[in-house]
Amino acid sequence: MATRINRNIYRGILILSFLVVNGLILFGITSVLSYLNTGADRTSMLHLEVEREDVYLPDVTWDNLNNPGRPLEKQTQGEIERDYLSSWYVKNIAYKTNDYYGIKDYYTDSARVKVYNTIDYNLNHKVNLNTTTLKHNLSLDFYSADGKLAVLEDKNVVSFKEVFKANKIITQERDTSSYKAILLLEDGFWRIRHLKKIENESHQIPKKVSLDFTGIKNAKGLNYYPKDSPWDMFGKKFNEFTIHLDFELIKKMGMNTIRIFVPYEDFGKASIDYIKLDRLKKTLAIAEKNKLKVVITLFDFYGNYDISDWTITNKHATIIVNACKNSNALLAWDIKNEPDLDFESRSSKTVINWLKQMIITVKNEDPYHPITIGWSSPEAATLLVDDLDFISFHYYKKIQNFRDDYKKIVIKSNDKPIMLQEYGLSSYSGLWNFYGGSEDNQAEYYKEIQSVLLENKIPFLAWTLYDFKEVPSSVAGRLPWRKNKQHNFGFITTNGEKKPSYSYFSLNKKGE
Amino acid sequence: MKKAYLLLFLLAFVSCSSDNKTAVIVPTIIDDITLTVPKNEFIAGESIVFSAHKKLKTNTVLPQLVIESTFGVIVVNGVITETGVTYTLPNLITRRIGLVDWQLVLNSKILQSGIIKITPNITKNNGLESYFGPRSISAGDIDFSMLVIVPSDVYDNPVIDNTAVDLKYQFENEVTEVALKTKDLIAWNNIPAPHKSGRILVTALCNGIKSKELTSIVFPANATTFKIDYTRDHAYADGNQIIRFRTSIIKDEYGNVISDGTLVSFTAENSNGIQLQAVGLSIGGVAIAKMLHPDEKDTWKVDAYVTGAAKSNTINVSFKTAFSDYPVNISKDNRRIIVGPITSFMDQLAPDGLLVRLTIFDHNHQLIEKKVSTLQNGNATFFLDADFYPSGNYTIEIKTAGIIKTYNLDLNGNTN
Repeated sequence: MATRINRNIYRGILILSFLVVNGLILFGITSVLSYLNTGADRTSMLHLEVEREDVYLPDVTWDNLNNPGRPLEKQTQGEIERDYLSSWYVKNIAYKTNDYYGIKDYYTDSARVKVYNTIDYNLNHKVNLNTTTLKHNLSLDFYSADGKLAVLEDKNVVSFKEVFKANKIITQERDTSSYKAILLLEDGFWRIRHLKKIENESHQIPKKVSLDFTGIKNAKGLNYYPKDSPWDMFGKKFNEFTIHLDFELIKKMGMNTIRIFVPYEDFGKASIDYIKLDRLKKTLAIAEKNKLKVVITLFDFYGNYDISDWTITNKHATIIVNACKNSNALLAWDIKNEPDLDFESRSSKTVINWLKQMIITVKNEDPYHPITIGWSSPEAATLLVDDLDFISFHYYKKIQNFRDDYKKIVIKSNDKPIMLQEYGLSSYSGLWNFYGGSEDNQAEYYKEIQSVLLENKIPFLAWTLYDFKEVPSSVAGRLPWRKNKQHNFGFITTNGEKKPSYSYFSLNKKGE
Repeated sequence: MKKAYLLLFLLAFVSCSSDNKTAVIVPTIIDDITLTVPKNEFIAGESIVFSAHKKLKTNTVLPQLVIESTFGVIVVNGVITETGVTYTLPNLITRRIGLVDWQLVLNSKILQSGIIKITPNITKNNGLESYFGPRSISAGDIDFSMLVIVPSDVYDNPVIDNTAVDLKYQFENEVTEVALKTKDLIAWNNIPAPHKSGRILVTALCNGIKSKELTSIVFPANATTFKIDYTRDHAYADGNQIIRFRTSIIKDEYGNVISDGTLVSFTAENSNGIQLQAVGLSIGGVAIAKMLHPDEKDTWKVDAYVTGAAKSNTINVSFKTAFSDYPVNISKDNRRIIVGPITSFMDQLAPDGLLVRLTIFDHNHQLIEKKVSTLQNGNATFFLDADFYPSGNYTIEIKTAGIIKTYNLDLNGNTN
């Protein structure tokens, strides 16, 4: 009996090992075959034009094209601009890594030695530079008759640099310098032959525009996403009529302000998706029709902040700000939602530098609307207070501490208006909070906090109008106790029923 | 006991001294030095040293000097000397002209900052680059070559504005001198094309450095009206000889012979309005083109063009017929037609290749076929096969050298 069992075990092992070995052989053959099938894409035979990726898009203006040599053709102007900017780009990269790569394409034989000298010196002294230029003002001094030599003047180049020694920052600075350059056309590239740093041209500092803060001081409202397309307001589900009905409802609640978000990547980074931009403009128009003011939060879901990315984000901001700045509904620009949460992962210095320069960029494009940043907590609220026009902070802590926290902000506020830009309580009740939340708790929360806010005349924007069926993981992460909570912050359920909190939040006490 | 004391003392001493050696001396950080630099404007290559006269311990942590010059940013460390601190800028900064921003920085704090200026160093080994173009121009008052001169100093820096540059250019016996001044890093001048074709040699001189010899070739301007003529071996339209057309020497408006290789198109229009064309390339201003004689009496109207530029006069060329008649032999069964022997103007057999056409009509004068043959040994033969031409009445028409002969043929069934 025992031997038979043994024999069966042997048989079983033999059959199993046979199957396993066969499986392995098959797997081996298929991986060899699939490896042999990989390789260059067939379309690469066609040498189709390589699309240039937007990596460096500083603001460029051309002043004067009149020159004694020869009229500059539009085509050549574009080529000179492209190659001249590339010379800056490759130099920035080379100084960051102390590597020669790319320099020889944009500097002639004699000029590239000068760049190489600097690279060698910095390599020996363990110095790295993190630099970018944000603005170039070009004018043409001379363009030769055979079209192979050009003299450019680049006035008041705005640049930003961080100097590191042995990976420790030594200094950082926003700087303005001017240059004269001789470019030669070689091998189809306009290459730098001579570069000379010259005196800056004095330019008038733009007059400070006095801002009107009444809209901000009286702001009462909420953060808005449509019920069915949270965090994707301007996507495929965009519907003007839905937004109109929602805005009508918000107005009926006695509110006058909403806050909306412009996601950075969804809007196409530097090459703006004009369909979405158009939807943003339509939203502003609907808000204006319903007499609502809008705080636009830029750069939602953005998280790079690196100096090398500045020109791209600036281009993005410039286009959006210019498209919206003439809307009567626009109340203020919010540069970024809760950037202080990225301090740890991206270093606070990097984030703060990016924010500072973005404030300058937005201010430059639209000096007439106040600028703020939606800090995630009252502790972070007074960061950059001198650079911003008013303070915005979010409050998701216990109400008991609110008065104290608010007082602390007031002390450090430099008399700038303070807005409670996000607050609220989820009515979620389930496994993940031990059935602790409820709609009544939420109602209680609003009953309490609204009285504080109204009494102290604190402008407020609650989170949010609707409960959401779907919350993308990119918003609150994948952790179910965070994600589930995020579904139930609304005053109105996913079925369209008003929660008890609605009547405490609404200023229209008839219950409409 | 004494020994023990001594030992104890020694031990204590040793331990103390070793203590002294290992004790970490906290480096003093200095942030109140003030740098001075002897002047604000330097000549490239001159040594630039920032210094502060303050006695410091050798282990003091010094602020760093951040230097931004045209080609980038570097960091210079201070050196503590007996008299104080010095910061010496390396060659790569001192040899580049332009503005140099400097900042004395400690822990991201700027202690002091300033700007110095470095100007070109004009000594003996200066540089001079010249860019000359376009290098081929056409004679006249419109075209020019442009010379751009980029002078530089001994360290390859562009020079300051208003640096004198002497330009000389030679054409034939004339040498022209132009005094130029640099502006925007360069000096430039347009050298106008002369009215004569030839070469312009150009050279420039700046700060004692001469450029190499640069050349611009002046090509003749566009051709102007010219004349044509022809030569031929005889005037007979034999379809065999070649007529040669040639132009007069074609010149531009300034009397320069046009460039060799200029394309001249000759057009001949015959009496039926059909155009014949031949082209020739000019050599020494003369272009030659050849055409075959016609094979019948004709008169051509010939003219020539340099496309887009010039036109010749029109000449008439007449061709006499080479023979006025020819014999036609028809076989008994009327199916074999032999044209010839054709004799030409000296009773010689007409050259091979002359075209003979035969057109066949049926008895209702409906066209049946056109046959073409060429002359061989003075004859051309046609054969009307019974498979295609059943018995009956036909009309044939023979045409060569413009002479037409018509015959009515009665073809019967048998050929042999």
